[in-house]
Amino acid sequence: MSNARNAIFAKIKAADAKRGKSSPADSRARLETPPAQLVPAMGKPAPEEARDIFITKALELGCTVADCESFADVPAKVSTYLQEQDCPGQVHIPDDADLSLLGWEDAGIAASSQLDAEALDGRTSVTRAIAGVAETGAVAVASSSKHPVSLGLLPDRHIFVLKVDEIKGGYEDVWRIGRAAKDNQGMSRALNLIGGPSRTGDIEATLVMGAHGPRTVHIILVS
Amino acid sequence: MHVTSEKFQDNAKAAIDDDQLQAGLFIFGKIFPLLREATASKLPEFEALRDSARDIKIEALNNLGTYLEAFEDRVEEAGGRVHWARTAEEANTIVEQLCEESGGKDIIKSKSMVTEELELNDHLIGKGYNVVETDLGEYIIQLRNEKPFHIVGPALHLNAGQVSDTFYEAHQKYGRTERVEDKVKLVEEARIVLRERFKNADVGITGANFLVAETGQIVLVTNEGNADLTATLPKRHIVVTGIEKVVPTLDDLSVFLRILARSATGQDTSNYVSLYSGPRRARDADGPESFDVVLVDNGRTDMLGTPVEEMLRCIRCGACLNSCPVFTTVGGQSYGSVYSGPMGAVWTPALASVSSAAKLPNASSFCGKCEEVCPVRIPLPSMMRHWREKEFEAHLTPSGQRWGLGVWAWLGRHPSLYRAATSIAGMGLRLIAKGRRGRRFVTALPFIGRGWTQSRDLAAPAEPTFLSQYKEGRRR
Ligand code: SF4
Repeated sequence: MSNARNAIFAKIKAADAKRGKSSPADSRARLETPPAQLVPAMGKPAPEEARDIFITKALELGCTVADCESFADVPAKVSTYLQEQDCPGQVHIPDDADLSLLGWEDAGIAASSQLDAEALDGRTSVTRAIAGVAETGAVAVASSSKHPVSLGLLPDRHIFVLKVDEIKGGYEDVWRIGRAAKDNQGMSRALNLIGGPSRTGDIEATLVMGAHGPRTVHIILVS
Repeated sequence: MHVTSEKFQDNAKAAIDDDQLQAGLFIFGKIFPLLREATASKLPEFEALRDSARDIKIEALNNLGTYLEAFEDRVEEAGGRVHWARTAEEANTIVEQLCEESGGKDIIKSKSMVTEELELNDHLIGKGYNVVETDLGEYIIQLRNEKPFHIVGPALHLNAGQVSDTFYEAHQKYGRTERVEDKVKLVEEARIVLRERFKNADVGITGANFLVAETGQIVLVTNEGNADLTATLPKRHIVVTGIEKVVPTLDDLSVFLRILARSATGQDTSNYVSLYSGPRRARDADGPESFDVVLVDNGRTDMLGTPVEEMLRCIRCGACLNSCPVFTTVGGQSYGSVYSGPMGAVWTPALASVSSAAKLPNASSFCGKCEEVCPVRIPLPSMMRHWREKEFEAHLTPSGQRWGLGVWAWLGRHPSLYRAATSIAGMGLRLIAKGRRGRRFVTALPFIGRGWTQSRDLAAPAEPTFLSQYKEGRRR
């Protein structure tokens, strides 16, 4: 439909000529070097405060948060959580050395690398993340070989393993990480900010958790 | 876009008498505005962010061609394709062809007002596809064969009992023969039924809240996560959206993310904020094999450089609907257009035609509340006035109203006759008015005034009139 494309651009050009306000060179420069926009104080907390603000906001969004000394302790923390939730000691993990090399068996947990939709439905997933966002309490993930997006969508429970120093202030910090990881195809296919469990207010504006995605989101903070 | 706005008056009358619907309108008219104010008051920079958002959109529209070209380049770089559609027909045909390429028949969709505008579902269903909406509200109204009641809360005019009836009927074929009434159980039932559709879909169709020119990403904002399932599980991801959704950079996007959820539902953030570009990469563990973006004009370029250009800044938050005394009295379906309330009164004549939507710009009390809450500061009342003028010029105003205005104008040119006429009318009104709280109101006007007093009272004019007091020197 290149005819349609030409026609649409012709109309845009005609409007540009009528208004005389377009400045293509400036706009291209804006794309090359994006100027900073107004960032509210909320979006740039002091680094020493970011962790506590993040925890507070994540709790407000309906997450649960636990802390943990090192990666080696993660399986035990996961085990405790699953027992509390009265769930089987079984998790799905991605092909990510941060997680796959941990001692799951010793903690009494069966870790599966099966990732098809049928296998994930109703289960528990454990994944890493690229950042925690103090401003909103959301956790940011980017699709990759280490992070299948469906791990954060199909299971009933999603457990994030996040390092304390991965907690950042606001949206801008996530964009910075995303831009730094660009390759010749640009940004990763998916960049998701996940703010707690899935929910809906579509029936009588009553909030109900577990609409389509995970019913619970648990964050393990590794210090 | 199919518009049935000529029935506005009849629809509105029925809506005012519908108690159930009035309960739903309380959510929009009271609860959402309270939540909006509460969350906005916790962000001291909220007003300044609204200014920034307005300015960014002005920049984006002033340089729309440059930003759209950059967006297209980045999408192609990521391995995706961009398609351009001048009209709804073109857009629907493109989407149909893309679905055909997939070889499958099962389509899942996440909420998109542009596809409502295009009537894409009807088109695809007519071609033999199974199309299922996955946003819970959209799913409910799809099952009921209704149009969205509100751009953000499409099914909030219904109560749990009505949803229960709808599910009971629709889900029997999936072996769900038990009637559930509880809201939590209703959500669970929809989850179970839709989960199977997600897993078996061939194509996922989403809209986009924003397009980022810098990176070629489309941005989806939801609370349910249904858009992410739609964008991730099927083999194809098709994005259908309007050309005006482009913002220059990610830094610009942040400004909108900070005001959208606050303005729409009073949340600090929506629970899923997702940016997608291109199909699954070689290194990705999942994702669709293809990524197509259909950019729709459908009347938008005609608005550029005109008095209604500013409407293109709209981010579909719904705040103007919730603040509108007309919307919160008659509800969305009265408007006969997928876009309702103040924003609909400006969008609909632009996208359909002034004649088919003539009633909508008049469905306003011009109180200015909508402009006050609009996060991108669109001067909605003055744009409605623009369409009213167009409508009058095109002689679309009802003959009674034209005749009335004509008489009024003639009287205006004859001051003594004007005063005689108004004092007779004033006497008449005072004669039929009833007292209430120290003031007098007319609760039932005769003749053509009947419509006015069916849903509201008219204050009886005070006596003596301003002019007579002025003459006696009592008012200066
Ligand atoms: S016109 Fe403004 S308030 Fe209304 S939906 Fe659009 S952005 Fe929101």
